[in-house]
Amino acid sequence: MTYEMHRFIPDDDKPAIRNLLVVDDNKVDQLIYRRIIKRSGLVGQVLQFLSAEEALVYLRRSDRTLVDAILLDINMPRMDGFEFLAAATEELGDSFTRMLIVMLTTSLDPSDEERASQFSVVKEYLNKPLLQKHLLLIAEYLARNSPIAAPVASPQC
Amino acid sequence: MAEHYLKTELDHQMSTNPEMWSFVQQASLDGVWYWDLERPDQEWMSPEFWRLFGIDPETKTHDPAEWQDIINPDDLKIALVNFELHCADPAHPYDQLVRYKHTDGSTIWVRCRGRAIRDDAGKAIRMFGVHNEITAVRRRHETGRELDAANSELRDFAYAVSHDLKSPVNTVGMLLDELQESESERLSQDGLHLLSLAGESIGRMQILIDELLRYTSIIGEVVEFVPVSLTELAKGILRELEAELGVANVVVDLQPLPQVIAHKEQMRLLLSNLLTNAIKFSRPDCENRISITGEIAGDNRVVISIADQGVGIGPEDFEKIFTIFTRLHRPEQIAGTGLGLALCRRIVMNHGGSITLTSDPGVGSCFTVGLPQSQT
Repeated sequence: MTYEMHRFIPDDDKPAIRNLLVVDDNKVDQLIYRRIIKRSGLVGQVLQFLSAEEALVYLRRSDRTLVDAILLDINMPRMDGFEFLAAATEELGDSFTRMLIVMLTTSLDPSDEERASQFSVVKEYLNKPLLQKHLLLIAEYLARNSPIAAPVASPQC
Repeated sequence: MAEHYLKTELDHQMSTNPEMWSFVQQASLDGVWYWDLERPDQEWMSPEFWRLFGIDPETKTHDPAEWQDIINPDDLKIALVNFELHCADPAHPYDQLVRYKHTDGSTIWVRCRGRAIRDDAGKAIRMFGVHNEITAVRRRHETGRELDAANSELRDFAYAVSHDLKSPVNTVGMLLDELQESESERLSQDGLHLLSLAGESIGRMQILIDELLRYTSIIGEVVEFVPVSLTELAKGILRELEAELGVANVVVDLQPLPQVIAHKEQMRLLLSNLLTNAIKFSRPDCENRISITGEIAGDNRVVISIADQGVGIGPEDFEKIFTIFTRLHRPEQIAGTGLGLALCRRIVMNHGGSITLTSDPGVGSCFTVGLPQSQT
């Protein structure tokens, strides 16, 4: 097993966040994320990866379901969050997830945020610890940018 | 255009009066040499040339071999390359920094410049050279660089340490929240009390690490100075502190402040820390007034004062409060990390300014910041 999957709400009940990926090398943090995510009642299923490489392997799979959002830690051994962003964007373009949220350990290093902002797939930043309001933020973003509601580009322009 | 008569006169003086050359040599040079390129074993070195390296000129002959073993071999190589190039092309300067060994073992830095004298065919037949000692300049330069490097390393180290501390503290904070969230109904009163104390301690630690990160990030920071409106900054900070002001029953009287040339983010931190401090030490039993005033002093300094009517500080503690990690109160009494005023002092130091305090216990305190404004 390269990741853990947990189902909380069936797709038929239309969860606000259908498929969420969390990439963080800290096992205890992952355990707490899972509890917070479950309690939020917003997430259909969560896939938890302890390394960026494993997340990348999953994203390459052609049989995988659509990813709504990825919560990405920055400080990880071997491949860190920035390297993950660079590798995934180069290989898969910007569409491997509908949105990506960078999780920062501290808000006091503006250079982290600056680096992350160079990737257009990065839509939000959050300062750890993860809170319910962060998940609400993701749900709101997804609702605003729903693929069904999005206006179809006219061929003339 | 005709030459100024004094220039003509000076040229004449220089070429006819040997005193003039002596004066130039002694006043501005640390040794000269004159080398016969047609008889390369002949080089005249001035007495000053040898004295610079602690050598008695009487003990030396006029042979270039005499200085070969006291010059740094790497520097000699560079000098020889420049010599060849200069001989071939007058436009290539013979000019380099070379190290000599003094008899006391120390290194003497010399800027060595020379000029070839050529025959009618353009062939270099003599070489005239001058020395300028720059050891003190080099030493200051090196000390400065070492200091910068040490500062930068210290900053990186402190940053990495505090960053790595932050992760486990965040994790423990989340664990405690989870425990509270899912187990609070099953816990006894005692258990709940212990849990909330643990939460408070972790909260304090999170604040401490944030402050530590903030403090280390400005150590020796290269600051970019821009015009900053202190009035606008102060207004913004007061808006953010609205809730705290209400709780502490504090009214702020903000007078118009002058504009300063400074680092904006550091100015924001400075004002924000001084204001938070004034609010924190307000008296709980009555309304408190904080006055913020500013003026441009006669010596082109901007002077900002923040005066409160809080608990005040005894003169014996004036110096203490600016020292890193020094606190006058236990955290249960008044929250704090002991970093706020240390940060203020460092910011003011970064700007070449001063921060002073006057205070009467029971009456209030007044912090005064002076910032020199050389550019305005």
